[in-house]
Amino acid sequence: MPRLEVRGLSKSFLGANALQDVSFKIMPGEVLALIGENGAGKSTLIRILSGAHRPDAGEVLIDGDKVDISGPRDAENLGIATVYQELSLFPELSVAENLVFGAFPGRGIIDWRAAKREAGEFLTSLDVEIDVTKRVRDLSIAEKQMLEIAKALYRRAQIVILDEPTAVLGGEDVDHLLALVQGLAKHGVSVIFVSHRLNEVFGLADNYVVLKDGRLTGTGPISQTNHDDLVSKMVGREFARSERAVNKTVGDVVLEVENLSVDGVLNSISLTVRAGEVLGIAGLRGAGRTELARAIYGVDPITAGVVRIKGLAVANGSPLKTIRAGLGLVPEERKTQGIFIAMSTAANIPMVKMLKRGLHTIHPAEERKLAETYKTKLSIKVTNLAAAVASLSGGNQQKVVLAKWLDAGVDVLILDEPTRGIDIGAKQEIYQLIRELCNQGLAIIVISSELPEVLALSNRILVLHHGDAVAELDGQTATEEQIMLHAVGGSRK
Amino acid sequence: MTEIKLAGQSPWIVKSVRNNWVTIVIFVALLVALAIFVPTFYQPANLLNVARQSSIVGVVAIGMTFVILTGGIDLSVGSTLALSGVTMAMLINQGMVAGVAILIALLVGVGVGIINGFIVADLKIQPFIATLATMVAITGVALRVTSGGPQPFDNAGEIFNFLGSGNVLGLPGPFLVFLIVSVIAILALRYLAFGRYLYAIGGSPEAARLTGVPTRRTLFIAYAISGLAAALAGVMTASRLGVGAPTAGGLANLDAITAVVIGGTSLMGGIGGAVGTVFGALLLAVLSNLMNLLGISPFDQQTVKGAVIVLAVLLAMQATRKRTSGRRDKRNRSEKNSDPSSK
Repeated sequence: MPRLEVRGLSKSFLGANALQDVSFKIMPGEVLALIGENGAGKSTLIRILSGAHRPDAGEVLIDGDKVDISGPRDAENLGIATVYQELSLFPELSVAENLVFGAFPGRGIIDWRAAKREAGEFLTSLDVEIDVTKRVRDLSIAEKQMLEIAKALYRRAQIVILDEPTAVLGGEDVDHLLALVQGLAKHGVSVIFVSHRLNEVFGLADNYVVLKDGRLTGTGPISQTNHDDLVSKMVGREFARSERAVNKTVGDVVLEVENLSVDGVLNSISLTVRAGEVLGIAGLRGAGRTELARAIYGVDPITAGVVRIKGLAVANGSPLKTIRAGLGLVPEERKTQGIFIAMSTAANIPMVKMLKRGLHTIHPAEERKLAETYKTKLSIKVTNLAAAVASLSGGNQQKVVLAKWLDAGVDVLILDEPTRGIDIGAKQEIYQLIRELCNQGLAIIVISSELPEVLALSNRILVLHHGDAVAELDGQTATEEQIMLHAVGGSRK
Repeated sequence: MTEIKLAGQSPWIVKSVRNNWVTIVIFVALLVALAIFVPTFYQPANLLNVARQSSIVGVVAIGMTFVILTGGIDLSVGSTLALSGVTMAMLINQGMVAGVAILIALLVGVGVGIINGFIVADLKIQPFIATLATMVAITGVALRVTSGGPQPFDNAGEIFNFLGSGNVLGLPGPFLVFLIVSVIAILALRYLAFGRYLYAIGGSPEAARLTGVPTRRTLFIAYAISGLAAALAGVMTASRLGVGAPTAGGLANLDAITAVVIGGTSLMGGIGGAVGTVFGALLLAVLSNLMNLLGISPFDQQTVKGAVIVLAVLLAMQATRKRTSGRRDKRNRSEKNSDPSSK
């Protein structure tokens, strides 16, 4: 009898289907790989199983009984434990305290000696070697993850869901973690293993489930599939060439990055972008996309390499230095990094120009005129330019961010996830804007986890994997499969 | 789109009134209630008294507003006030010209502010702790230089009269100083890039960093302004009493913070301004005057004041929430979270 079975699970958010009619099962002691692109519905599925979301339709069965998971507590009682990347450990408490937390030995008064002993014995039984008296904040990420898994088992979890556990780990740590997972399976625990790294999946899993746009596109024993087969199931559609429209007349090199390295994050990355060209940067979470943008922009210190804008080196500069050299960044987190959320739309737009030129005074009347201009030019939907920009929708906030850079004047613009959390209509408008800017001769970098977005906008596509630039593809001829194959590390087994 | 035009073109005075309507409504309601129940309030002598009482806390609070806008706080203003009064008194007693003594007393305040700025911006210590430390230390300095005793000095001069107990154009001198300081602050926050940076740092520290806002410099200046305002209040206090006392600071820091917060400036930073602070300071002065007129015991006055602070801040929070309704827009947030691509 399967340990866990889901039948016809569906869930939609605000009319968008996140999960549609998904069914699969997992036996005791089985490792099931859950695979899919960003946005395929993996997270939604995990959240339903861990009690964070209620499904709209479908049922979940454990050991053959239909169960109702209406909260994290239910999930725990049913023996389902989820280990997220953002770990739920208490950093200031010891390993032992974390392990037995909520299930303390002793009556009323906690018997710490027993707790320490029990914790130690328990970790040893799992072949996990961590000093139980250490504070969790002093552990490595790998150790924390193993502790998190141990904590789930201590609470008698029979089904463990691991959400991309290896994305933040390197070499040897990955091996340790995979060994632990194999150990769990031997003890009869069922493991759902979410990973983007297909190489790991092949070494570890018994069976696989592939999700694509919320639907199940493939399932079966891992031994009867291969890299290319899985990738095509993940991507599953050919991107219409007609949707691609890029500027064909490119100019001189404007941005030049040479052997850029950031310790433990980026390994000697080189790239160039010409005027009137869009360079797309693709890669999975943890591949170093945002880190690359931040390093070029000068926010995070780089350990080696040079960044040149129009031939002038700006490496290891401050943001203001790179801004003055002609660079702009539309950051990933719009609300906290992109806009000044409590300030008005009119006050937001001239901020970069003020800083770039070192202006000291403000002219409210001119600010208002400027805001009116950009409101028309970028069709920003805003009723009161003097109201806090927080009241605008995501797409319109993003246009305010763009207005800031256009007003200041830039030669190179890096856009990190420019359409994340933005509705489809506004998305197309942003694409249109990016194309116009490109035609006007700007050099543009678009970082995106949505492959269709990268393909629709880019002249060339740079694919990152684990801090390395693993491929550069032609934006006109590349396919989602190709990008994904490089992004999962398939091009260098 | 006439409505938009109207919103865009309304004079900024109207706008600041709209932004501070809670404080102003409470203030006006209080004034009306006073007219009905305590008509003696409106006797000219009493009004002038209220104006005078609001001045010193008002000046400190205006300086404090700059710091609170960055998301910080300045607890050291009371001891700075005392140290600057003491400095002026002692310099005058040593025969220094009044103008020079006042200038040096003000520079002492700027100096304390720069120390605060250094601890906050460079040593990255939380403003609460940083200024708590300077508060204690500066009090120590004031006690050391005076050996703990009050420093009487001759405050007969014209300038002390203006800063202290005299009237100019029928208004109390200190109140005029308060008004002038307020106008300068309001204009600075509105017309200087520096003012914009205060809001940027307080409201969106990450965005400020990514856009290259000169955070360090801005923090230094904000704390220096707070120190300068506190020192000015110290000079005013000493001028009125004819004494520079090392204990003159009292609870000036808490009164000033109260005025700023009642005035609608968020302690989280990024929201508010000096217009609200002016009304906050006036409101506090009117309130304590009213309670005096009603013969409420000083003990009970404290309790009432506490209740009024909670009430005023509660209302101000409501208004702020409405104004920046999207700031904590849960819908946007959950939309983003449920968007599986964010995983």
